Amino acid sequence: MSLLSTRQLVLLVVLTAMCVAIQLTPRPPNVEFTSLIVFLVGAVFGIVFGATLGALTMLINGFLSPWGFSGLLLPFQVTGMVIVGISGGLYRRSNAGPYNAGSCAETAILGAFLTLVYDIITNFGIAISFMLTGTPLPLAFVSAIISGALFSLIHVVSNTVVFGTAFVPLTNTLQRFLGGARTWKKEPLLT
Amino acid sequence: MEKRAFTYVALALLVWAICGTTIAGYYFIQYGIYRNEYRTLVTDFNVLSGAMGNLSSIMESLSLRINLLISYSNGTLVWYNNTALPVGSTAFTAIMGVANVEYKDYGQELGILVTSVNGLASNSSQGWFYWYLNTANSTWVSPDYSCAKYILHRGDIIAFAYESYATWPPSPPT
Repeated sequence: MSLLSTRQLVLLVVLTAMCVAIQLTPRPPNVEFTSLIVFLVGAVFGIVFGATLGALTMLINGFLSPWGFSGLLLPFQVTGMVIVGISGGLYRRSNAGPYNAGSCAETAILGAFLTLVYDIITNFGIAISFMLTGTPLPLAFVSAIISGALFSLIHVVSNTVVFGTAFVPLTNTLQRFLGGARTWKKEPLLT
Repeated sequence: MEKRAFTYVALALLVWAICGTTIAGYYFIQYGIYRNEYRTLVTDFNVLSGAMGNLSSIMESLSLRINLLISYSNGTLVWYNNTALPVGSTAFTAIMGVANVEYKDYGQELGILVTSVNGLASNSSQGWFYWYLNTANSTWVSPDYSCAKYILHRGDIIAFAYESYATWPPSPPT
C-alpha cells in the first residue's frame, strides 16, 4: 500500500466523518446516502478503503443509531455495506472514468441492485431473529422480505435516484480535486 | 460494449423482478389480512344484529303501545298513535309523556287531576276529562277515578278532552 498524501488522508477522513454523520442524522426512513458515499470511496480509494469505510460506518451506526442498538442485525448490516464498498472498487476497475451520462445509468442500476442485495442480507438477519422464536428459516426469510417490501422499495428507488444523479458529478469533482486527469486509472488511488 | 449494456439491463430486470415479486407478495398478504378482517366484521355484525333483535323483543315485552287522543274545545283532535310506554304506565303518565301538563294532587280518594294541557287550563265552566275506549262495544268510558289510577293495557285507546261542566256526564270526545 502506498503512503497517503495529506490531501488524500484528509479527504478520506472527511468522507468517513460525513458518512457517519449522515447515517446518524434524522431522515426519512430508508432514504440514505451512506451507500453512495461508501460506493464512491470504494471507487476512488479502492476496495479495501471502501469496504473498511462501509464496515466502520455500520458498526458505529449499529451502536449509536437513534433507533437503538442493532443487535443481531449488526453483522448483516456491516456485511451489506462492505459489499457496497467492494462493488465501488470493482466498478472503478471495470470503468475507470472519466464518467459520462452513460455512467449515470450504470450507477443508477448498480445503486438499485446493491440496495436490493443490502436489503436481502439485512432481511436475512431479521429472519434469523424470527428463527430464534421458533419459525422455520425459509418461512422467516420470506416473511421478513415480504413484510419489509414497501420499505425496501422506497430504499431501492431512492438509492437509484441518488446513485444515478450524484455519483458521476461527485466522482468527477473528487478526481479533479485529487489531481486531475492523471488520476483516472484502472487502479484506484490507494492500492 | 454490448455485453456491458446487456449486463446492466439484466441487472435492472433482476432488480425489477425481485422488487415486483416482493411487492406482489406484500399486497397478497395484505389482501388476505383485510379479507379476514372483513369476514370477521361481517360475522360480528351478524351476531350484533341478532343480539339487537333479541334486545328489541325484550324491550317490546317490557313496554306497551297505546293510541292517545287530545281533544281541545275548538274541535281540534290530535292523535298520538303507537305511543310506547313502560308496562305499568297510567293514563296520567301517558299524557305527561306527550303533552305539557299541569295537574293538582288532591290526595285521598280523588288523587291527581289534570288542570292544564298544552296551555289550555281548566276554569269554572270547563275542565279536562279522560276516557278510554271499550273495544268490546266501541264506546267511550269515563272512569270515576283519577287518571293516575287507570293502569294502561297494550293497545288501549284513551282520550283527554276539554269539556264543559254544564252537561253531565260530559259527552264523549269524538
